[in-house]
Amino acid sequence: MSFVPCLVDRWSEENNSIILTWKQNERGLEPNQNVLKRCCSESRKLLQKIQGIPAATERLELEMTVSYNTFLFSLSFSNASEIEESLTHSLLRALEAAGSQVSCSDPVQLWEAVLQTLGSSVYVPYVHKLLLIQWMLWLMQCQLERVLTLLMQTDHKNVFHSSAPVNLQTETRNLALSMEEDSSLMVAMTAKDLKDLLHICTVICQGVEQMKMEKYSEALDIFQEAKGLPSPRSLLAQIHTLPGQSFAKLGQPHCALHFYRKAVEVDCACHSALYQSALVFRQLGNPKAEMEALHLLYSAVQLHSDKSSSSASLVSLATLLGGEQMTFISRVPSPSLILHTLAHTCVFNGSISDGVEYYLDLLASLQSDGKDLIHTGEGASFPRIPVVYLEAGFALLKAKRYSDALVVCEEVITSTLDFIPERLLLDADEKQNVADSDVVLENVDFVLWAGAAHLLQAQAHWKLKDTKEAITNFTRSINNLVKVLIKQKDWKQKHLGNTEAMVERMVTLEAAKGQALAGRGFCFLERGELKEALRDLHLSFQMTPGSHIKMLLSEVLWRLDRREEASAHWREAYSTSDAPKSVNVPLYLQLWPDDTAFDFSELKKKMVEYIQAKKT
Amino acid sequence: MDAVRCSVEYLSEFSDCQSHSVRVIQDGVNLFLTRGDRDVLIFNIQERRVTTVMLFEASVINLALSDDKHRLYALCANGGLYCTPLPPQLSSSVRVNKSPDSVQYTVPDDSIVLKNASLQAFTIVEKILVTLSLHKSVWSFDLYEEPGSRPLHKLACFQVVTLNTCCLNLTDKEKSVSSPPVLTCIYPEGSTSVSTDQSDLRPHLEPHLFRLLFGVDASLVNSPVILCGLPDGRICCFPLLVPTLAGPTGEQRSPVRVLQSLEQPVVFIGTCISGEHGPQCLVAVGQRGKLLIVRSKQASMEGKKADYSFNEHSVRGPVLCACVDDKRLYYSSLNDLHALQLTTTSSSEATGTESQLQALTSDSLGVCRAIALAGPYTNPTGSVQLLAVSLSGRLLRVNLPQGSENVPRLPSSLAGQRVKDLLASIANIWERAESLKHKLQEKNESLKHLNQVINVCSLMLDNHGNEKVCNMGTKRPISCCGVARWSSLLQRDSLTLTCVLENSSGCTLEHGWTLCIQVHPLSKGPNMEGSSGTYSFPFMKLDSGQKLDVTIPLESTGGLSLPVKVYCSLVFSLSALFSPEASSPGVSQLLTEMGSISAPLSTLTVDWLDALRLDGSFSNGNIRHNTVTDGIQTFLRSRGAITRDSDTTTKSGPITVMVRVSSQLLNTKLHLSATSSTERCMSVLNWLVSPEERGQMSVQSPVVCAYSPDGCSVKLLVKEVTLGDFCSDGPLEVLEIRVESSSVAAVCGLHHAILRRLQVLLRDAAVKCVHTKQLKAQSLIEAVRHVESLYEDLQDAQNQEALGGTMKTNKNSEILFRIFLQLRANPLVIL
Repeated sequence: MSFVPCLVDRWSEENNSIILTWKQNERGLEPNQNVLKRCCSESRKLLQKIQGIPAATERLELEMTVSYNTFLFSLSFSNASEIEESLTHSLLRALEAAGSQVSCSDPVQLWEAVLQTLGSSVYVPYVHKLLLIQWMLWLMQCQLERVLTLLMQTDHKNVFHSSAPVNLQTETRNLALSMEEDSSLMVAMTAKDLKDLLHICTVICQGVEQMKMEKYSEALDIFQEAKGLPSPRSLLAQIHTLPGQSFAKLGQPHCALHFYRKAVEVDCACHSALYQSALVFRQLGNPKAEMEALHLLYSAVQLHSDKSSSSASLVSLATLLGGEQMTFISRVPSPSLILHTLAHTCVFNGSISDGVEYYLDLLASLQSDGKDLIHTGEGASFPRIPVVYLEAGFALLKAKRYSDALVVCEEVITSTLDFIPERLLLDADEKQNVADSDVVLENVDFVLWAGAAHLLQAQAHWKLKDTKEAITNFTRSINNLVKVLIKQKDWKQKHLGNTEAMVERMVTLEAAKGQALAGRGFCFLERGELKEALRDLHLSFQMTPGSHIKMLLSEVLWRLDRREEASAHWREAYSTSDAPKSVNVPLYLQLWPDDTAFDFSELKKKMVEYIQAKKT
Repeated sequence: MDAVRCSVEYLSEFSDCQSHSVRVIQDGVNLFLTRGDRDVLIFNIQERRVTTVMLFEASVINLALSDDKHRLYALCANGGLYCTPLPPQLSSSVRVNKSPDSVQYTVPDDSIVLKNASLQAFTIVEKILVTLSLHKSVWSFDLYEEPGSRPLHKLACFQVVTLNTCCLNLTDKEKSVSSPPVLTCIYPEGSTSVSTDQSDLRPHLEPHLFRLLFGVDASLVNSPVILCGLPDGRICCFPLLVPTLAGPTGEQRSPVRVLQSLEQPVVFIGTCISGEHGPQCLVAVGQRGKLLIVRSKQASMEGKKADYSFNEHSVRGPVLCACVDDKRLYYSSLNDLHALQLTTTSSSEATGTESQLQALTSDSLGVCRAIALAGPYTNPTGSVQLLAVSLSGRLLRVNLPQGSENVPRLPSSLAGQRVKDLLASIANIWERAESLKHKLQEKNESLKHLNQVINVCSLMLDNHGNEKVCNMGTKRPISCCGVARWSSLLQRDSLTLTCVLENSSGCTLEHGWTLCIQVHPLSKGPNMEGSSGTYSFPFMKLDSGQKLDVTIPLESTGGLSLPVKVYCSLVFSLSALFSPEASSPGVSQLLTEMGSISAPLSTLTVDWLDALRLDGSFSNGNIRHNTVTDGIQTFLRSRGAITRDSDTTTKSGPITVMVRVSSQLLNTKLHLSATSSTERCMSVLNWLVSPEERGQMSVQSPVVCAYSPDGCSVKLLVKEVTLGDFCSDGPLEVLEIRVESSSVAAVCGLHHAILRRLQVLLRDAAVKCVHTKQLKAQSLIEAVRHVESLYEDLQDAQNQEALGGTMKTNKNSEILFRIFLQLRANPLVIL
């Protein structure tokens, strides 16, 4: 058998050359996925060759090293069960070489046998390498109990006097694996590196499990432990983000923010930290900071999507932490949803010009490429498309781009036209099942969108000083909105058939009606048709009482020479402070200070004079 | 007869197809075809040949091209979705004509992009790969980035629960095999500008109906909509490029919506009836013939909200495949390909469904067993073309003329009946004609055969007449000659006769002729009853110039008894004129056992001389020694160490008989050219021993030592002696043929054989022998006296035996034997 050592030498050389190729690629600036693939297939072939002849102790070191390398290479290309199968095969061969026959395929028993047989031999470093692979596979499947059992088997002492409660944390901390490296047999990743990576990932996995069970303080303890461990940079940011999330859940937003800031300091592209901090800022009512965070997040996401996502690292965190865990950790909504949130926040908080730009970007991305849209963000859903259009129209209106606003609203009108029912009778006493009520709600939505679109168009026309067109559109809006009839008198009261969603719709509908009527009344006032103006403003006041309308009413009455009534309204309006901004209605129906662009100074003067005169 | 006339061209023919897995995709001049096996054929329609064969790892279920037409995706039965780049010459406009052979290309296993055993269908839209898989009674739609990295980046996943009402007794696998789900993408009309040339092939809907069917959001975003016909009959749809939207109450809702259920597996979904803004209706066809047409209802005057209507119709199923163009739906049941005229009757909605049902009449195109369709497309001349693959694997191009709807038509029910009648009568007539043709052919064959037989017979009769004239000279057209040979079989030597039937005539001996060989021993011994026999060899055909060799054994159960007469004849059985499957039993009934013709060919005699085994040709070991004792006795006998009492012959040494023939006579008869006496002797001996080899001398000395068939050694000698006192003219040269052997039987047999040969030789010559010799009376008298005395002795012996058994039979026979020997020892000379 003189050829055997020769073969061993040749195979070792082959293994080393594969590893050298890989190392060279890893050091390069542009790690290439193809190189990894080639290394994987070559290494697999080599392993096949080695396993083609009966197992023997003189080749055991080589075989186990090549197995270890092959498994690392094939992580990206095959699933865990395949790797586990070949790992079992390798272990059985190792046992065969050592002369003991074990036929069971249960991994736990197999490992027990392997560690007993080879546990005190020169092969320990190699056995421990394969043990790391097993640990990795179970971690990928989130089977932490099995990992614990495996690690306990490695440390014989603990098995015998396990008086202290067995804990994965302590076990991993105290784990003593033989990490010697043999320079003649190269490996793709040293056992120490892999062990460190596995250690930190196991800890994070545990923490995430605790968070899922809503045991946030326990999770914080675990993450505290994680901070002391060596870890790769991208993971370091997560190590900060996760305790931040726990703190946020525990009601300590400032602590959370502290951690998020740390995370961003470590890795400026940490999406989840940015997103989470935006959420905290909203909670804290700091729109400026929220906008900034969202803006950062959006640019980071865009950068990321531009970059090609082919990472050529050997063991990626995404594979180690499994699919579910990773999505939990780096949960970020889709770019389009981020953009919408950003735009909405901007417009809502008054930075109109930014908001308009964001809305236009959003509309463009909706029209052009859909791939970003498809991406489902967990938990958060995108608003209906007509709503986005209406919001964009509203923003354009506020940014004084009236013709653009008209165009955008026209889109909504044409698209909803077919769905507007002749009339929609809402009978609260009638019991409706969920599906029916959904259909009804959707129909109400159509009516509302069409009405709001007409309303926005009317406002645009009015701003363009085209009062006639404005009146037409206000009328259309009103005609649309009154199609919804409510049988019950007091619809605001919660009722069996009156769900929260329905009440919300009703409030919005009333607000829209009020605005439309007020708008038309105001137009009539401008045109001098005072009777119509008085009727509309009265109706509007019934819908949405407010000081602004009261003042307008007083103006109309004054002009109609009903001075007493006018002064009464004036006094009422003057005594009540400005109505607070109605938060409950959608963005596109928000009232704006510049809507009251009516010069009341003259009326004020007259009123003051009139009241003075009366007094005297 | 008034049906739509369409012309069908056969483009190519492949092997049989499995009806459920045939897929055809057309892309310009290239046709991608799979027949449910591992191959995907790329067929060039212009060149009418297969340019490329792609071999996948498992049988291919479904095919699709990527948006840029550079990659082919194939779903295989092993659950793998393969993506393979297409050969570059397909996509390039400039074709290289250098490669007439089709290229075989094996798709490597690393081109697999997705492996999921529950994968059922897939499609590629707008660079998004949509797959549909069925796992644990949940249909799930998965969206992937199309030219993506491996593993593919999953974009989204939607799920629909299966209805288990209609698939209770079927497993998921069976169900999916019987009818795979259908995925179709319907585009809003506005997005056709993306690809100008293919725009008419993309199914799209007018915006109004699109919005009504698929919602405000999809129409605002201009998103394509994926429609899926599930095997349980439901038609699901979801917009492709719309983000997950909030429901009316704020929660997340699944984008997948069920439009309608056909309650039978869906075969096809498409759009048709082009209107002002695009196709005006959505069409879905179920496997059992249910046809669903979705149209929009215009908003009426009263301001009622606009709606769409589902109209269901029935066509005759099963529908295997379907496709649509502007106005017509083409669908294939197994029997025929139909073109169904779809009408734009959306305005006359109020009249009800009756009128619509009437409007839906389908035209038969007369193309049966089409199982996959591609197209239709309009070629430059204006006719509509369909590509169809038939169940037998033929690729057909169906050309439909324009304006065919104007042709007046019979009512479909009547037309069907009429076609049936016509077909039935055609079949009847064809059947009758065929049987008559068959009979006629049969009779012609028989006559031809009979003619041939008569020809052969007359030929042989002619020979027979002048047999005497040309006995040896001219060769007969049909002849049979035989040679006796020793052959060794299973350690036993036996004498066989090889007969050669040679047909040198111009006729062919057809089927029905039999070569008959009758063997009769001339001597009738007490145990020789069964030794005569007949052998017949029927043969199929013997062309002119061909030979037939047959070999028969001459020894029968009773042993060898020489000489033997062999009669050869050709027999024809008349029943062979009528082939066994002939439909006319009448004539063959009349032919009973007598129905045969027998024509004698030749008569042969096999005698002791023929059966002699020459010294050289057999080694000693082959000489028959039946037992060991025989061998020992032979040995002892040869040493003289044993005295035999059983055989009288051995006592007196070898027995010798001789025949004397005038050498002059033999010279003339045998045409001998030899001059010296020894040469003459040798040639005579040669003539006796091996008559068939007259040319060369097989015997090199005037003495031949041979073995008789029963194993005794025999010596034949020929020498020339001069009889001085015999003839008055002077000394007479006489050839003395002498036979010496220790066996009486051999000596007798050989003597008889030699005499017979001489007899045959001299028979016809006797007349011509003009030359008479002056014999000396003295010697003649002596000879006669000698014979007379022998005769007296014989009579004495006979009398003694007749008088009574006083004499021992032993003694008697000894006397007879002596007489016999004396008679033979000094014979008369044959002149």
